[in-house]
Amino acid sequence: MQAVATGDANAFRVVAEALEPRLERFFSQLGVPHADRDDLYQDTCLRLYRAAGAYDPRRPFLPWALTVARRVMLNWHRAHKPTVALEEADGVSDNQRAPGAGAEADIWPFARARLTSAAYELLWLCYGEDFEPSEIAAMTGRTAVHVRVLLHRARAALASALEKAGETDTLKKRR
Amino acid sequence: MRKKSNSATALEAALRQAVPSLRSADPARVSKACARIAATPPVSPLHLPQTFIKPLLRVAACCALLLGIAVLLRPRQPAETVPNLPSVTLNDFTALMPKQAFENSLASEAANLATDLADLTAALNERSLSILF
Repeated sequence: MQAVATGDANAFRVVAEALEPRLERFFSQLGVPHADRDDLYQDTCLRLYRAAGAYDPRRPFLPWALTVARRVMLNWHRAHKPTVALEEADGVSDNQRAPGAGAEADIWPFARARLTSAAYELLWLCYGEDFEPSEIAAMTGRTAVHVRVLLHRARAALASALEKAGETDTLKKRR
Repeated sequence: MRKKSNSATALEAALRQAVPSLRSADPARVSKACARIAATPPVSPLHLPQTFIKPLLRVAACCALLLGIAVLLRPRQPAETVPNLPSVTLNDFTALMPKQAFENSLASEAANLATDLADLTAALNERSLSILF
């Protein structure tokens, strides 16, 4: 990044290559459609390149890069807020199914359908990206204690939703 | 309690296990991003907030602070002394004003006062009589 800060665009290619899979997964997990991920990736790269001078090499790079990516994504979400006409709102179905036994890969879509976007984001940053609460706090502009509390609530909400879904599944099986 | 902590641990483990694995980088996408960066004109250093505006604001804030401190700590100058007016007594009037002019002005003032008094008396008589009759 120090080479990038001096204006070396070729040095940035290494950074962009390393970040690409990470940002792809980050955007896809946080609900960005496939068609828009390319734009968001390019915007993030451009911002990182321009802000390279502000990067402090004593701090870890990934939380800083994902903070930039998160801000780009929030701007995108703000500009593309999905809206449904009130008359059509009843027609929107909840097609998320509960994860069955052995289908552990379905837990993230299930969580996304059941939790608020903020709670889901925190869960993803903690367990998906493997960040510490202090790093998440710096990324999201909260205190570390607040992040811990929100994570605890998100886990509790998810556990409760899973429990309810499991109960309904067993009830269905009995019938 | 233990059951709850066990379920929380199991949930955490399930979340970690279910994280989709990273795929390899897409070279086409990386090339596109790099091409866009190369095509974008470099930002002028004047427009970079971290390089120009922030230090400028800091300097301005320091200047304002120093100015405020200087104004507060400025030694107060003693109030300017009011020039003493000369004390004048009645005996000094003769020296200040010619005697003849003094007498004339007093006489004209007395004549004015007498005229005003006569007018006032006439007006009062007229009003009181109009009330009575």
